[in-house]
Amino acid sequence: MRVITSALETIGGITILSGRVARMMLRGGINLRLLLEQMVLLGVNSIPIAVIVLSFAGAVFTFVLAEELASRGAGSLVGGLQLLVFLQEMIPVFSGIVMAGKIGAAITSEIGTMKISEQLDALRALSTDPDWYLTVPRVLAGIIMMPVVAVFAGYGSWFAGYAMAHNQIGLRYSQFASAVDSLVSMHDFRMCFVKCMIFGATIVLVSCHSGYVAQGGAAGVGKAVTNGVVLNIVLIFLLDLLVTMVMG
Amino acid sequence: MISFEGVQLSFGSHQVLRDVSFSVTSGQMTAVLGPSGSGKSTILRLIMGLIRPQQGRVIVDGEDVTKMSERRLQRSRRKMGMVFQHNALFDGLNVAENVGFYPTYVEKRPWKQVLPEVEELLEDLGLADSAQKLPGELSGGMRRRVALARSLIYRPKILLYDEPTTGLDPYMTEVVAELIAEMNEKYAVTGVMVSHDLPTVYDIADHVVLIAEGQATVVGHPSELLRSEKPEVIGFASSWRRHIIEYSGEMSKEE
Ligand SMILES: Nc1ncnc2c1ncn2[C@@H]1O[C@H](COP(=O)(O)OP(=O)(O)O)[C@@H](O)[C@H]1O
Ligand SMILES: [Mg+2]
Repeated sequence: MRVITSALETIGGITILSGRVARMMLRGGINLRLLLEQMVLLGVNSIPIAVIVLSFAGAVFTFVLAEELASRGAGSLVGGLQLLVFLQEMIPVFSGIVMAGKIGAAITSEIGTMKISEQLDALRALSTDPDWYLTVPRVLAGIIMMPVVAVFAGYGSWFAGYAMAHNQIGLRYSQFASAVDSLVSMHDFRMCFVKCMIFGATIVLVSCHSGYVAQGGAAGVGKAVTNGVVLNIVLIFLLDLLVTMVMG
Repeated sequence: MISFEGVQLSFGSHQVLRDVSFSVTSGQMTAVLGPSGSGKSTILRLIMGLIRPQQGRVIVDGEDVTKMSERRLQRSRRKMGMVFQHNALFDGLNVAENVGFYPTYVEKRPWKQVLPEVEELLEDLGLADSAQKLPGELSGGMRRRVALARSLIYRPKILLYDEPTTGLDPYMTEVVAELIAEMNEKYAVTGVMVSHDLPTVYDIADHVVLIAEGQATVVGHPSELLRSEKPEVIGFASSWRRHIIEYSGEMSKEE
């Protein structure tokens, strides 16, 4: 029973927060300096790890498939297949998990610490809406920067895949890329970007909310961070399925 | 200027304020005294509209803040400043950015214009050398003064202080107390100071209200803390009274 009520409370809280943030964005309540600060922070903190993670994933994918395909005379399909799978699934999901672990945890612990040290009350006392000062710039930065992170991570996986294919079955770059035109369409790129933007918004909103509801000192903030990261990872896979089904 | 009318407030099943009524006169420094956990900070948070009571009204400058929307509260808070019990400085911003927060983000003025005002105020409060430091690098007394400056910069008509001298050494206690008295004089503000530091209250308050067992007892002038026959006042101030009597006894022996 307790689990259900707290889950409902969390979902309700995140929904209300999303509504407030959306309304505020539409009204133009955005401070450019705060937004830029968050965009830089988010990019600097997550691009390197996302590139590393997806490069390994790209190399593993090609390692598994290259010889198998080559032995059936279809070695040149490997680049196109990789790009297709990575655009649809791997890039958004892996980038999302990296974001949840790195950026999401940082946001929750920052806001949670502000909560327990009364800095959020101090903001309100200074006639400043915490959603305007903290949430909106972070959410918008998440939506804008997540696709940017994905572009870097995507290039990482592509070239790591090529290096592996070259090494395993001796493909030249033009051979590696030869099946892209026939296997990959604009739709796959759109899917990748839509997923990234949705994940970006979700991860930041969930992380902010986890921080806002933190209570009970430093241990409480630690718990809030764990809750936020776990919820984010579950939501990434859930939304991944939903978006894939809706967009086909 | 500020009045509480039959305010009742509980956190869950824990009733903190049963029936609190008192008022604060414009231009005066009112001290709210009481044992810890009696609801003193809660009183300040009610004035700011940071929390709402279950019953009763809190009138600030002619308006009931308990019924206001968050948006209207935001406007109403512009005439109030609050120094939090643990300062609540923004720990990611340096001292100058903390102090310049209101003019930058609420008045939306350019930093070039804000900075000279910040520097002047820091100079006044003896913090000129700390403008670029982060709150974590400051001593307790300095942090308290930064918190004060962050509110003073927008000249609020009402200033609320939550235990401004608690946790400071005796010297810093005196410095901060003097500063509060001086600032109240200089900016002619209405002050509400929560404290359990009786000597400071005695020195700088004009009016004393005692909170205990969920109710407010109006004590009046601070000298009443020594004289009053009200049982609540005797109960709260007895050890301090004894201390003063012993102290003055020793003084007269030495003479
Ligand atoms: N947000 C809150 N949730 C639950 N209980 C609270 C909350 N804030 C204060 N309390 C309780 O209300 C009582 C009064 O708190 P407070 O006003 O901070 O006391 P004081 O400042 O006089 O020490 C305390 O018992 C405290 O535990
Ligand atoms: Mg208190």
